[in-house]
Amino acid sequence: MRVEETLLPGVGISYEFRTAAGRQIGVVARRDGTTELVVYAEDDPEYVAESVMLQSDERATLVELLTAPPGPSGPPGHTQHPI
Amino acid sequence: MHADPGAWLAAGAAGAVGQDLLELGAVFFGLGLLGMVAHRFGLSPVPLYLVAGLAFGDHGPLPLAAGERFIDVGAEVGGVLLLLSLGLEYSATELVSGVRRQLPSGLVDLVLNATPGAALALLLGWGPTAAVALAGVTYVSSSGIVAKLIADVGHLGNRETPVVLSLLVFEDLTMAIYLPVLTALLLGLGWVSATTSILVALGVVVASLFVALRFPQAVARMMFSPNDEVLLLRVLGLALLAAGLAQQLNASAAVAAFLVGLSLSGEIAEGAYTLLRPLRDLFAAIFFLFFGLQIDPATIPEVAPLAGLLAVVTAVTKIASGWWAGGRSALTPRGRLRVGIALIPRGEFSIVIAGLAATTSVDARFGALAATYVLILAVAGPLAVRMAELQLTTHRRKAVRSQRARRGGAVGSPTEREDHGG
Repeated sequence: MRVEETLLPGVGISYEFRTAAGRQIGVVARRDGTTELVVYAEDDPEYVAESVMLQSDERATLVELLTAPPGPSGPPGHTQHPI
Repeated sequence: MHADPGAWLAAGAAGAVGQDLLELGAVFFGLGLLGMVAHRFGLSPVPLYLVAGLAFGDHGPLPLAAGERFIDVGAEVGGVLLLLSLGLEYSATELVSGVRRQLPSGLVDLVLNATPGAALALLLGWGPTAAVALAGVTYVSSSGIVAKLIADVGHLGNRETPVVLSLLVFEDLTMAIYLPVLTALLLGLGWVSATTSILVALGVVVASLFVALRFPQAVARMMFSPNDEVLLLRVLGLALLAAGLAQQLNASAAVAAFLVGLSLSGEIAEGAYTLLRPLRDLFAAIFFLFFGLQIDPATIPEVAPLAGLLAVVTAVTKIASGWWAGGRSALTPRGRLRVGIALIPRGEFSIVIAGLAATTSVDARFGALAATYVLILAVAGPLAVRMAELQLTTHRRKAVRSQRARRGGAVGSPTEREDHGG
């Protein structure tokens, strides 16, 4: 999987890649330390459909969830919603 | 000046100091309210500060009297801080690589957008110097407004964003050469001294870029301090010294401040930028206010149609040059449009140029024209971006929905997103 890295002068660096399902997603790493999770539009992979700003602790939480999604008896700090 | 702060405070209740504070307080608080309104509607506060200046000027409805000394100096500091922050945002490597990548597009941008300003000034019979000044006003997009706008609408990840940002970088570097040239022209220096000062300015630009590229650690070590206030004082002090020195040498104070920021990079630049930002916001507001203060609102109706025409023409030329630049980067047609639309707003550099021109011998209406022009585009530009965003969003939502319908229902999405209407 090729990750494209683009320098954004004065702002930071943008990383993006295409999933097997054909969606383009990525991350904008800003110089001030915040990160932006970016999902590109379905019909226009050059256009950001949704972008979410993440502080460093929020980024860590997302990474934790993505790396090892906890099971139903999750770790403390997670609120469980019974189905 | 009162040497004893106690006596100063005691005397403050009566007399000029009290009036200073009242007026300044009213101005700052008013600017804050304006800024709040601007942010509420997702606009840049710059045009509102200009309008406030028009209202509070000597010719306006509510003339300021006592606070003017502070505002005079504050405006100069504001100009320095604006350019210093801009330089801090970029690293010298980015600048050089941005210029290399976008050289043809940058030149097209320059030619297409400087020409209308120059042409109008010549048509009005304002002379070649005014033509050069007005060309600069119409050419350079506002790095501050554009970059913030892209971030605010969440488009930093768009494919066209690096093109937009690189063009801004190119324009800023062009300013580093243009401003000394303009200063020399405005001062009416003879050929020899004009050429000398331009060459000296170019030499300084090249030298600082060289130092920043080759010896970044040396500069950082000189400025570094673990103490925030020391770093702040050093960086600001250095920028003001450089700017003042440049002015004494009839060179551009703004460019000197820009170069100081540029020669700092990495963590020092980050730290300094964060420390300076509140100061910059305060003094930049004063900077724009001050420019507005100098303009006689009575001259505006006369130049308003011209400013409007210039705004429309140069909005189109920005879209055209953006279209060209986007083509070079192989963007889709929509992406190419977005490049130009994003670059429509004019702002701080145009005001810096107009401020330089207004203090010298060009036509008295220059300032009013420039202010009205910037006002129009600083409001219309971001509006255009948001409207294009809205258009594209609703258009795309329909396209995506029909696409999904054709595919026979979305793959495993339990809820359909409600159409919020943008």
